[in-house]
Amino acid sequence: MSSTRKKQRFRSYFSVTGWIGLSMTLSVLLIALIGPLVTPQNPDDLLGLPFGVSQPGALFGFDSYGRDSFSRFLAGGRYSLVVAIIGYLVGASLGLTLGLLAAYSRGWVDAALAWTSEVLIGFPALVLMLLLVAGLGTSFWVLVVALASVNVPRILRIVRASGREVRDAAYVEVAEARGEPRRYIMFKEIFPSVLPAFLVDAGVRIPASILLVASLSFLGLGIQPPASDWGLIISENRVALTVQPLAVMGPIVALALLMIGVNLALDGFKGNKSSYRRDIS
Amino acid sequence: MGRYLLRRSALAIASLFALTTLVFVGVNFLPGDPATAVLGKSATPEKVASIQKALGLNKPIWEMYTNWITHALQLDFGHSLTYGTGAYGYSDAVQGTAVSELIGGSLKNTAILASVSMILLIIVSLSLGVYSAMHRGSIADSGVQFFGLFFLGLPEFVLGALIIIAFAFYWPILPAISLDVTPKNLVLPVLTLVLVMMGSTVRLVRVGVIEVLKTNYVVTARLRGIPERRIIMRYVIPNAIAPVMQVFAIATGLFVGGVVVVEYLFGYPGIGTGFVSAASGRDYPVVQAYAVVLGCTYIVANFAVDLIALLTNPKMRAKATS
Repeated sequence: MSSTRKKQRFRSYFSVTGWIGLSMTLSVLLIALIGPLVTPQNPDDLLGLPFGVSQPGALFGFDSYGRDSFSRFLAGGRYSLVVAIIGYLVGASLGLTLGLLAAYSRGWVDAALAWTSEVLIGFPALVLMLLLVAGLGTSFWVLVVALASVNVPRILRIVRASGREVRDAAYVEVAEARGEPRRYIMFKEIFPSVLPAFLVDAGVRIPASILLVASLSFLGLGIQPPASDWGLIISENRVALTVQPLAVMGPIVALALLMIGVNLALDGFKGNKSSYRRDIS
Repeated sequence: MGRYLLRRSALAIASLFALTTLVFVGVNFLPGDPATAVLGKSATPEKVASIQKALGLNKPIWEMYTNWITHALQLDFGHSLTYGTGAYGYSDAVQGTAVSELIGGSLKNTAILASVSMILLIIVSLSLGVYSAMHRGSIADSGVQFFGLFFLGLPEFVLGALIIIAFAFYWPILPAISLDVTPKNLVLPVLTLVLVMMGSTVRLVRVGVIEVLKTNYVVTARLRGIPERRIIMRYVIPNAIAPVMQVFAIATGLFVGGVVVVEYLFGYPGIGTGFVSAASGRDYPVVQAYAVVLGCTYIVANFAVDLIALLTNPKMRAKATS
């Protein structure tokens, strides 16, 4: 009885395609996280001919240096994922705080934050990251900071927009009359009504962050060789796409499934659709 | 309207200023000395000093900045550190190839790729988006919607690699790399860009048109028995221009990044490939120039779209005036 009800409630969050999408996304994330632990071969060992084709023990054949493509695929998902998630979290905490601050304060604080974020959003995300990486190098924290600097103004804008809708609400005035500190009003009174928009944005922005990091390593400006990374694998083997396409199959399928899964899940999400605005900038 | 124009221009100018400042700071004041970085293992104190002098690194910050800006305004971005026989990596001569010379040709190539893709993208997403909106709920509409989900947000290098495998490996009819600019070489890069962008633009155009279709004036026009074709031409399209233009303005940000990735994937000789190799080689004057060019394109495109929206749409005009 209770399990049926639980099932019904469970089902009600997503449509059928939404559940399919969610499970696609989660399985890719799972592969990325535990993949490095279960590689059949050492992903850095030279085991075959460069671009050697599939054979027993090497399901996807060999890559540009003769390393086992399947093992490199399994080992290559985690780094970008960790960079993307930490970069998102850093950006989200800053963007959320500044967005709430902008929404609640009026006057020059709000104006300055709104304008700064507007100007920063004016840079194409990838160009901004390339610029920072060119200046600072490609270490882990540089990538995190570069990603955060892309995310902060965009999250700030969304939080500010939905926070402004409630800053004149009666309960905010009551809290002010009680003499609550600004921090309390920002996080206890305004934050709850910002949360749905913030979470929907997270659903789009976390996968977008993963893809930005993957794009950077595809361009050779993320994690450096000989490390294994999905973007880098596609980059290293792109000259042989017409000779040994299996070398890039794993990363291609994984990244495509990740993104299609996220889209299906968001599309099939039955939550608050009014706050669901896909921000593609 | 004047006030809105002023505000919008101020934002564009502030963005341009921020862009140049960021590009300048990003390259000159971040940890690590550019002169040492570009020379790598071949660094000697004399070489480092000569690069520092050539880049003006020994002058005060403000002088460097105003110097760089005034030269950049005249499209003079200095000289490359890695290209040309006189580049620092190879000899002690003072100058490599002029950056403006390096950029000129690739700028033209990118302009060809970008404009062909953008025009195709606009045609395809307008026709599919408007058609889906007019036939909302039909099988064709759901088909377009579902199909679009597969391309939405897919990284360019993933879709591009799939396209190369499909059209150059399984069914080899087109070249996998595009080292020079011929119509045949353009097909796959353009296809990749259009498909990647289409996922979002078709959906957004559809939403924009549906919103107009729901308005009271369209409902009233229908009730008055005005023919559907006239409703679309007279009521729907003029009002849908602004939101639809906005779609493409926002999309240019993604598009700029997409062009960089697609060029790199196909080896296309444009500013994307140039930017990436300059960034990897730490060729600072070239990186600065490419970043400024890419950023400016985006800012100017956005500004132009807002202006067109303002000029073509009576409602926006009224709003901007009040």
